[in-house]
Amino acid sequence: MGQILMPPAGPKRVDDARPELSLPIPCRVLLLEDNGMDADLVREHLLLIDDHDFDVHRVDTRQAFVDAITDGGPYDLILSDFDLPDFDGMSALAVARERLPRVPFIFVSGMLGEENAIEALKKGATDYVVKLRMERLQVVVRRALVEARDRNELTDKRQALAESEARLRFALEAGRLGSWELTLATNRLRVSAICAANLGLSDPSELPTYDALLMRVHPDDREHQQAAVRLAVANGSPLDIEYRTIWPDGSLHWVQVRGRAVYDKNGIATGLAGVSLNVTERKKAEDRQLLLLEELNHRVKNTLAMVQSIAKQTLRAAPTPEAFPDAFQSRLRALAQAHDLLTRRQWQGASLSEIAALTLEPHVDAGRVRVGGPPVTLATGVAVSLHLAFHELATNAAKYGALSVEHGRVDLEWEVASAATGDRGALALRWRESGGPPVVPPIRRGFGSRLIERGLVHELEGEVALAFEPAGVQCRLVIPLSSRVSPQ
Amino acid sequence: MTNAPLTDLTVLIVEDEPLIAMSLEDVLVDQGVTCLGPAGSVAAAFVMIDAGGFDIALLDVNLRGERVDAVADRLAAAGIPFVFTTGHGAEGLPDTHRDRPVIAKPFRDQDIIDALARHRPR
Repeated sequence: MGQILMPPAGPKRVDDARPELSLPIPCRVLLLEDNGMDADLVREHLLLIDDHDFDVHRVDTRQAFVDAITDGGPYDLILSDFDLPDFDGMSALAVARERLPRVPFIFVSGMLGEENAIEALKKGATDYVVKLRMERLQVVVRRALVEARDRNELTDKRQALAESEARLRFALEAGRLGSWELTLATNRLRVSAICAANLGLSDPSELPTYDALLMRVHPDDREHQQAAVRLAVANGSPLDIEYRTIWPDGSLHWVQVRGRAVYDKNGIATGLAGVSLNVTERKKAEDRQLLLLEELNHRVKNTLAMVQSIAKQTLRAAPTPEAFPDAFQSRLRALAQAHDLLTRRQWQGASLSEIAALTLEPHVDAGRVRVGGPPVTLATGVAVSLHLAFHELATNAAKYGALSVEHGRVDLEWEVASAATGDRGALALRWRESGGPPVVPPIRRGFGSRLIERGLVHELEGEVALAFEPAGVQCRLVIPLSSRVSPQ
Repeated sequence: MTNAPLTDLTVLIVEDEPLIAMSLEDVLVDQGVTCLGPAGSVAAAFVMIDAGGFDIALLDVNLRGERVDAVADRLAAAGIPFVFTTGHGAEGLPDTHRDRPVIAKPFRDQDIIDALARHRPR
């Protein structure tokens, strides 16, 4: 980078650029001359330059000259007298240099002392011709035009190159891409400000060599980094690596580097150049995604194990094989409902009233179930367990209990006893059926009873009393308050 | 398959998911095993280990978001054998206990029976 490609050396002739038998090159001339005869003399001499077709615009006052210059022409050449009644040649030169710096300016004057001539050239005049030797005008004008064309061409190329570099810099900065260049023979490194910033450095000069860079690379990644660089140099394959870097403040960041070997004309690798990008955020996102995938895998496995457990226990408790599918599917649906609710809450838990409503909503709407209590927030595991327990109670009530007859009803109420000395407080929850057929206690405990009496006690570390009272099933839970069961 | 009787065995179940704990109990009780627990948290597991009275433990690797490394350490220090149960695969195991037996969730009943028969104290 930084090398400007020069056009082939040697003066370039105007003729080179012209096709054979082509028309003369048009050339607009601004002529500042107050004397009409002198102006004609200049015109005659210009006519002798046969490969150019001159179009002379003559002005003879300061104002006309300034207007013409301001208007800009465009002119290819300015010819000026040195002494004018209301103007002088040096002032005209100053105006022209300021406004039209690319246009060659030649003095054509009756008298021009050596001192004036030197001063004029210093101030930017291209050349001068004294009127006594007007035949020089042809040579001087032709040379001035050729040189101006070459010079302007070069200026244009430089400007285009500068603009191109500015665009590249803009693109690099917009993309937060750092650029770097390594010279193999000297191990010298040149990096951009962004490239240095990617390594936590404010000054690119802090990375003068490849070794200085390597010191910034995480020790565990250095070997990998060096091997990749060696490979890119050895076989010309693109360099594309990611490595960790430790910033001066001790923080860890990720850098992605892409590059390619640079070769001389004999095909020998002389260096390596490319871009660098801070990919720390992407790496963090990848880590988060990996973590989420692991968590998902864990949850899926756990859910499968729960489904397996529900299947086995439902099968165990089923009085006949025919009773299995409905009981199993109904429990699976209850589990799925709990997952739906928790997903809507981003697995951050759920409220007790939401969980109660999930199972009991249809019965509540029919005026058969009354649900009420203060706001309580449940952790995900508690929410699932309580929901499955309510599902068992409601299913039993609908089959054999209060919800199996028209006038039966269920009250699900809870209250929070706030913390006292030596006691962290508790949630007391009561399920009470009434108006149903007389309850006959089951001969053996089914899945529902077991889930409530064993599972809930285990999950909630609380107390459970499930009673098959003749007047209706009653279930009372006392759950100590904790981060998993908390008043809102 | 080994079907040597396990009737003289007492097993501590460390598992935070009640349904899975109940399922484990079913398997073990059917084999005549005496079950302790289930312990659903690290703290509860500590209490049961300190109380003792069991021969071997089934140990879930994660209890309500908490890793069980400390529980495994305490069992190992007490010289009590244990078998991990996990849905995480071997990567989820505590680093210092990677050579311990593992049963992947969901498990077959026979896997539990075989593991207890193989790793119970002699």
